[in-house]
Amino acid sequence: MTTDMKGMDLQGLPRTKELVDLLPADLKNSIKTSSVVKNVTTINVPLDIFYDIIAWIQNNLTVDLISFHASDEREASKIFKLHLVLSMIGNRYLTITTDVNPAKPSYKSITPVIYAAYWYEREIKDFFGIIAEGHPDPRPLVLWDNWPENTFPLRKDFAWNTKVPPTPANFTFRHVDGDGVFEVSVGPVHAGIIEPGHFRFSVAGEPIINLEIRLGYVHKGIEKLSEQTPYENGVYLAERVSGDNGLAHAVAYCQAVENLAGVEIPARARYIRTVLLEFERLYNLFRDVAGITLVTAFNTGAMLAYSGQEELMQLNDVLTGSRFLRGSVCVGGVRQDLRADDGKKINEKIDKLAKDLDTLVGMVTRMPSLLDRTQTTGVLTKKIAKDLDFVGPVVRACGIDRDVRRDHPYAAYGDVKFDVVTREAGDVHARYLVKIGEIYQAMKIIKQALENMPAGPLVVPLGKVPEGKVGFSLVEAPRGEVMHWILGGKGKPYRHKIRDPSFNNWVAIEQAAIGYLGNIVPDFPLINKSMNLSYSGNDL
Amino acid sequence: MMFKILKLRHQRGIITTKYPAVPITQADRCKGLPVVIPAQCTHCGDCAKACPVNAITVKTDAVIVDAGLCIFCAACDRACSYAAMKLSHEIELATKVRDHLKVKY
Repeated sequence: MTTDMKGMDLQGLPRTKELVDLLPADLKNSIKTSSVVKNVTTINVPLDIFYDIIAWIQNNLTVDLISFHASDEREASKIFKLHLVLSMIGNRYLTITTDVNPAKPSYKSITPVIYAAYWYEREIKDFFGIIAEGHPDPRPLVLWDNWPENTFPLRKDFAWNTKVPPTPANFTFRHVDGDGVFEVSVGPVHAGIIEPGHFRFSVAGEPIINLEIRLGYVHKGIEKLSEQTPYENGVYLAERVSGDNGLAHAVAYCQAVENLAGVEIPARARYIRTVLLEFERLYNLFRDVAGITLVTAFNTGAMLAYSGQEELMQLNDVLTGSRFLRGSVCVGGVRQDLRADDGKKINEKIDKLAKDLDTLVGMVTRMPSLLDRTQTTGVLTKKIAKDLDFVGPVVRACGIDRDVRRDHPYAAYGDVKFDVVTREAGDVHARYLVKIGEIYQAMKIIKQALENMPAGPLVVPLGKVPEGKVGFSLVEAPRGEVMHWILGGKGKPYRHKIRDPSFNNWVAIEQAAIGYLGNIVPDFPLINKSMNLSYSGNDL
Repeated sequence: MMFKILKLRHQRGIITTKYPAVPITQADRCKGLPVVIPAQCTHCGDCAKACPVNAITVKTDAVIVDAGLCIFCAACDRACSYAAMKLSHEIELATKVRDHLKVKY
């Protein structure tokens, strides 16, 4: 039984038996504590078997890495704690925690078994100074180059308003040697008014041999700031993590706090959240489709999609008073109701945009110039996508059927019918088609949600939020899975971990730029546009 | 060509308008500068407490809203028990002097 359990459906197993009983006896006996709350199993293991238990789980069960982060609990229990959050089949989660002694802050790196932990472990080192022994790439990741050494901003003894002296240091990039191999460095300041990031290409002529991305230039310390922000105001902070995915972050924050407090929000609020979340997806995807079309120099098509984005944003303004849907949700429900004539306005707009999109799709599906440019460009293989746990449309374009809306339903997604759009090719064209497909699905979801919208109250009171407990939630933002994980404190989070989909998918751009079939430098803007990642979301 | 364009314009009329000359009409729910209705305000300070960015200062004789700090979230609107604080449709707030962003009611 233990040899091949991959793909096994855990839904059929009784809850307590879920995982703990499946483990081999030696691992099972060394588990310190285990608990099951709703669909989350939490186990606490000693540091010395942390690696072994993860290796066993990764080899024997189908799990996806959601997050790996630390928390500073030296005040209460004199330890640093590591939290590994995994998602499992059948709407289950598994959290593995371990205690790290602050006198010797290190553990055995888990990157060799879960490749996706590669960036997380570097992030933990930057923020907490907990070292992953045996990590293949121990360079800094998040903090800026002139951040002083041995200053760890998420430790509790670092005040949020500390001013640190700049201490210049050198960051070593990966270097490719050879005849005719040159390095092209781009950024951090870019041609358009976009966000900052440094791209280091190694090229031989035009083909890209290697790409390395250095981010962190706009690191804002949102996680630290959130530890000073009461729950009711945290929503405003969450909305500003990543501008155009703001609502997804706000909903993820609200759901995490609601899980923590154990409240169920009213049915009408769930439906309104669903409608608004799909609106956010619509305008983002219209812009993404426009972007890819524009980079292939098909301006007519791009303008059609851009006008769709603008019309949607104007409708957002009419519905909520904000083009970016800000201030429309609150902890415990939603802030504003939809009015009587809003449903009609939405339906009319969606019907019109569906026709516009039909026109665009009719033009682009057989357009040789667009197909030539997008097909076989920036190919990601299914194996890389699976191993590095990419999320969102990027992973669905590689043939992996993964969507939080279906796998871990939230808001009203359990009550509506929709398909998860996937493509097999993994290239820019596949991502283009996935995004177009998702626009149609989003329209379908909005129509169903409006039709079945129940009446009732909009908000429930939050009540007392417990201290020392964990609440987290996943939301499928237009770019992929957003996670907010909150360890409760006194009226505000004690530790708030945010994971934006861009954090996972920047690695995807590095991989796609090198590509399975090879790419040239002019392919890069297209690959970049096909994923359209957020710098701000990554540099929390 | 020129003639064609003129003909089209004659047929369709003018669709775009110059922005400052013809002001934009805002949607009903537009969130602009918070305004205070002094007659209804009791200076209780609930709005200042609710403001996530501390943009509101309540004094015994005045309420000062700093539009430079305001994030237009409408938390003050919700917190006010006397319907004295409302988000207006005023969105043209740019000034050349930072202090002019502070609006006193």
